[in-house]
Amino acid sequence: MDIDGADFFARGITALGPEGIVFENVDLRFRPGDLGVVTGPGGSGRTALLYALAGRLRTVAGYLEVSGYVLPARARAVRRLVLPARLRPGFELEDKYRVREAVTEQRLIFGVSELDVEKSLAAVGLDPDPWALVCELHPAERLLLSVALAIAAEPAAIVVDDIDVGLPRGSRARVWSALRAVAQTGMTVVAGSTDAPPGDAAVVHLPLFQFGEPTEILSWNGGLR
Amino acid sequence: MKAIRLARLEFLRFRGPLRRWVPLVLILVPLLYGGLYLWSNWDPYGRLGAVPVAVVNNDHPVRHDKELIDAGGQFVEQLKAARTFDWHFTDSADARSGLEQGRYYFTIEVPRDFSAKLASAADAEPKRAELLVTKNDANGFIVGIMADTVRSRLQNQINAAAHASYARALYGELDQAREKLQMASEASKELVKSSELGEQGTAALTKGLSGVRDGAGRISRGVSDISSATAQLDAQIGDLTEVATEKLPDAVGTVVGASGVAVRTLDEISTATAAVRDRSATGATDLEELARKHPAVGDDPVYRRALDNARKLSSTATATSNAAERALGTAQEADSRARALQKDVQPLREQVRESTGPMETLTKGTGELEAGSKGVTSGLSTLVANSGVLQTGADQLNNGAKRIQGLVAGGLDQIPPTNPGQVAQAADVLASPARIETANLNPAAVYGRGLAPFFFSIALWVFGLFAYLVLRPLNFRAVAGRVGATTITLAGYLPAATLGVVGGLLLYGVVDLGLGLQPRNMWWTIGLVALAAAAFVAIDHLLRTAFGAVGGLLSLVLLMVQLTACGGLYPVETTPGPFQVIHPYLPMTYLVDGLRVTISGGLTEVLVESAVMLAGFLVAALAMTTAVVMRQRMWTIGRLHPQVAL
Repeated sequence: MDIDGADFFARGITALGPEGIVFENVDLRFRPGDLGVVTGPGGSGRTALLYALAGRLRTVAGYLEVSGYVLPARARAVRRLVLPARLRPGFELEDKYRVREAVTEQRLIFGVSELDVEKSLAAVGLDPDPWALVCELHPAERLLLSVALAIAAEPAAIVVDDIDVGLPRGSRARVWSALRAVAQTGMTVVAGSTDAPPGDAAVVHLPLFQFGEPTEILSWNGGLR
Repeated sequence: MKAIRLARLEFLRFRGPLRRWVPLVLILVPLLYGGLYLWSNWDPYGRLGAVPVAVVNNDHPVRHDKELIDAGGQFVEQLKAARTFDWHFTDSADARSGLEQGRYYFTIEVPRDFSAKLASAADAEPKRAELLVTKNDANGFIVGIMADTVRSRLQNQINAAAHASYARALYGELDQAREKLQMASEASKELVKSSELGEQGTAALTKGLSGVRDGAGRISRGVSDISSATAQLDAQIGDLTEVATEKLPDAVGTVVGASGVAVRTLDEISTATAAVRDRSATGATDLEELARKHPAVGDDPVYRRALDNARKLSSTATATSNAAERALGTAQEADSRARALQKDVQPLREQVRESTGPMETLTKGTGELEAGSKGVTSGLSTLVANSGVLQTGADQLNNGAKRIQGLVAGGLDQIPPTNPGQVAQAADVLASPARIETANLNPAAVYGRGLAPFFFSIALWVFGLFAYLVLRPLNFRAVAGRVGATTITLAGYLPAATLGVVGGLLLYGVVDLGLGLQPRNMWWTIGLVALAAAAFVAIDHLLRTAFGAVGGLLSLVLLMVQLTACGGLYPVETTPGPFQVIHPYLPMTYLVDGLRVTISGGLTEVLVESAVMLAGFLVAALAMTTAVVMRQRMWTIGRLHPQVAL
């Protein structure tokens, strides 16, 4: 599986929210086949930066280009290239699905075949029980399932956030190596985590920003859970 | 205290440009709900004047006893005077089509024979005039109830108009009856006069008769006097003649002679006795002188006896002398009377000879007899005369009575004959001369059926409001993927829409089977409920997708606005201006209109329009949601970190 990976280039990009600056003056360069990692504590604007890189958040300053498409003007084209595998709150596996239902959903959304999904699962080293509920899966497997479902659509890049959230230390190595394996197919993998992974990765670190305590994040659609 | 401080801290959580408004919005919810509702329904009955109602006057005025009775026109005038509703005076065709189309909420029709029937009040069998109020529950149920509540007012107005007409008709009749009565009164006056004459005649007759009776009495008395007097006359005339002429003069002469002798004798006796007295007195006195001269003699018993005898002799002689003088006096008196009698006998004899007493009595009685017979005659003639007067009086009396009878009969002819049943019926009709017939083009019959459209609308809207509290409006994994916005929209919409349609049908089924909704057209009702559920869910889907938690609030506001402005309860004309302005733009308006047609009946055009409008809202909402989805492929920090979330 050879993927023409996406190329991310940012210079001094800045994003604003209702309560002020979310991230500011960020430079980065992720090349095709890179495992690009954005690190930073919660509230540092890491997730927002990943949204911006995925063509799904408007930046107010600086220059951002994905595979030659300048954002935000070409956001639509960028969104075709970059697929969020896990980018909360918008893009996340449904907990109450069974694995096979999650697979069915993905096949419906991306028009991929069952075979594609099986190959993707194999690529990340996953063989889940199709009847298991997503929420019953090990957090690492849950993360890898969402990665597998994303890469089945063969995007130029995937975005995966919160790599280390809820993951035991022992499982993190497994996730990182799976992501490296994905990157090695040529697909650019953009990951967000609190800490940088061991080994080779293009790491961009975001300092904790100064707007006080992080805004409470409530799930957009989680509702009355 | 700790609880209060902790409670205060809870409020401090609401920081941020949008979040700080959350408590305020919560505070406004009761105002929104209660205020809007009360505002729109503050005084619907007071604003009935804005509710258009058609009035059709087909009445033909009638002429009754020179009076023109135009009850329909009067009724219309009264309506104009009291603007209870927004009256539109129009013709039958316009009223009918307007009622069907909802331009009028109900119609009042005055039929052709309204005045004619009211004018029948004076007839034996008065007819009750009728007004026809036609409602149409396809235009709202409550307005029909409102029409009913003003019905009594309407009834009063009609009754007033009717009573005015009655009065005219009745006074016409009264005038005629009065004329007849006046004539009867005149006739009775004559009758009275005649009877007075009769009375006088009768009195005179009585008097005459009593005169006759008195005369007769006097005659009989006179006759009896005459007979007795005649008898006496016979006897007395014989005796008197004898005594007076023969015996009396002789007797009187004898008496005179005797009395003369007696006087003379007694005179002699008296002289003698007086001499005895004087001597006996002298004897006694001599004896007493002897005693004085010879006291001794005094004591002698013989002397004494002699003295006593002398004294007794003297006193006896005195008494005898007195008696003799008295007897002389009496004899002298008798003698003088006898002489007087003798003197009188002569005239007496003459008087006797001339005695005419009985004859006078006879003459007198004869006179009375004559007078009595005269009285009888005159009494009889009076009687005759008076009986003539009496005859005339009786004739007049009879004539007068006949005229009165004729007049009374004439009056009777004018007063219709009645029996208790007719009287009761006439009284019933006159008491309430007009009846308001109520018809309904599309009767809902009961409150529940009438208001089902409104409550179905609320139910379906509330479903949409609640549905997206638990359902996810959009699948963002799909948004991230290669799926069209329309597909994403539909994928987010269909779960809620399906539940909504099923829920609506469940509601329909339970209400129909459990409460007996029995709509005029079941399939249209079901279809419309399903369509409305779909449309309402689509609108809520749009709000929720576009505005998140705030969309839920907006849906609540829309619910309230629609409750108050959809015209589901009171006619929208009774609501304040703003509600009337937004009325046509609210989806609930069309569900209410459409369901009224499918449940109670009504114009198919209205139903079709409702269906089209609801479908339009559905499509528009989905289209807008699609547009929103397209925009939402790009996120904002606000959406990443929503300040207010549910």
